[in-house]
Amino acid sequence: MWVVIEFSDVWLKVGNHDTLKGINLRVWPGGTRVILGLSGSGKSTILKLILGLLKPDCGTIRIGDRIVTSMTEQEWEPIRHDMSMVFQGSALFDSLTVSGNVGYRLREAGILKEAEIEERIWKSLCFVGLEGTLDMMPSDLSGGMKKRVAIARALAWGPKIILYDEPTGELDPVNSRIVSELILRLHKQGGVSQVVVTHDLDIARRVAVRFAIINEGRIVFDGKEDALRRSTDPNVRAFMQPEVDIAGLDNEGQRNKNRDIAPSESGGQV
Amino acid sequence: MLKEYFPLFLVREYFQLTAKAVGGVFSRPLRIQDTLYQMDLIGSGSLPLVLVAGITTGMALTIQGAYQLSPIGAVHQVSKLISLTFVREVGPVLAAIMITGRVGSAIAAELASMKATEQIDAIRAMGIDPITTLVTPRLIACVLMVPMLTVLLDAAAMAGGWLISVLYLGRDPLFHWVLSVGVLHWSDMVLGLGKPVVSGFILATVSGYVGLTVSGGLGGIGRAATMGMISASLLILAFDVIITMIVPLKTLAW
Repeated sequence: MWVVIEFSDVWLKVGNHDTLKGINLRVWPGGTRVILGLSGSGKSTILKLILGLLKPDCGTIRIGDRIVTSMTEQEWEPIRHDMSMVFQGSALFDSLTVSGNVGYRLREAGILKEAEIEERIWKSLCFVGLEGTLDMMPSDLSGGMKKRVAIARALAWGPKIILYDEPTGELDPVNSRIVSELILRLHKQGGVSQVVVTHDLDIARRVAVRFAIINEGRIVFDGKEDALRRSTDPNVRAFMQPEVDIAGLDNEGQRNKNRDIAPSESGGQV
Repeated sequence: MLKEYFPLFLVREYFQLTAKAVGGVFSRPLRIQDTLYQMDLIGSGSLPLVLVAGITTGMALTIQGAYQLSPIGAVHQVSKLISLTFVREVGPVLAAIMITGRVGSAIAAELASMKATEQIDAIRAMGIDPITTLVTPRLIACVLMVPMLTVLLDAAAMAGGWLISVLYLGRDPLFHWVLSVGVLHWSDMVLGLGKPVVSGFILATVSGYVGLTVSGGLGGIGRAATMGMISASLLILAFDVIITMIVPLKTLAW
């Protein structure tokens, strides 16, 4: 079956650390692929590889019908043409208004007339429910609004693939719900493939039925929620029900407490 | 790891960035609005600083010059000394260093902050080159504005010298002015405007390079500001010496 994105045995080392260890991953057309993982597991790195912001040490990455693994920056341009990304911190341009941010890529491309660009900006902002923020600066927006503007910016271009890096990270439950509903609505509309990277299982459940879990640079699970619940894999269990060594923390805390108490008990002498 | 310990790698990277930024000047889209905005930021923002620096330095150097020349009875030569010194040497260096202190650190910090907040990645992800988008307008603005500000600094310094000469040394106003302007040869103007063009080029490309390549997230912003300013200032001073060593030989031959 034709796939939009395919990773085959992809390895990447950052510094002396193996960030990705033999990643195999597929994204199908019109599908929403969720990659779950704890902080530092390498999930955001996968998005940067899809965008060509990083190059793998070995393995093959295919986007559409092209192998992109060793492409130059110039060769990447038409590949990126089909993609948009919503960054973890929204990455809105501070010096531009909301309208300027959403229409930035369209204006840079110089293909559409200004009236068409403004129409697209309006439609994208209406989709995320922020049509009243056209002339506001990013610094005037809340975290949730910034994320929604970032989604509008991604949408305005009309991409075939949208990548989301922690779309609900740092958001309150209400905004988190709004953002996940937007991702779901895009999925239902069809025509766009989505890759969502998150550590939040709730958003994963809301936007997709199939998840991949990445742990220490390896995909340790790839399947539906039922299989996820039944999984006895210790890596999967570690993600689902993380066990923190509270006893160890308590002991450490007690030691620190004793250390703090000691001077006062001995009359302030160390 | 190799990059951090191998200066030639950094030099290669710098030249690659510079080539792209220069290439951006001749490619579309023409970023006229961005360039005008940067020219306003650099020019209008630095104008008070440059004028105050020019007039005060011009006054101080005139007093110093008069003291040094008075034992040999050549105080009248101070007019020529001030105009030649400023147009050929002090003006270009003083203006470049003052503008670098203000603008170089600002460019490096702004780009580093854009990098730390993933805005540079966002530009790349859109298939847009961040160098031609961000460095090229600043390069054009610096290359145009640094010479203009240098001319204004020179004029302010000569005006400061004239004030001291007339009010403090009691010399004839017109005589001072005629000597000051009359001593200047067109080759002095070429040198006095050539140096700021090179300084503007170094200022934009070095601070742009530092801003785009600094690492360390938000903590890197302050480091970029300092590194951008220091690296650009040192290179400007080095090139000033080189140009001064090369150009006079040719200009004298003209």
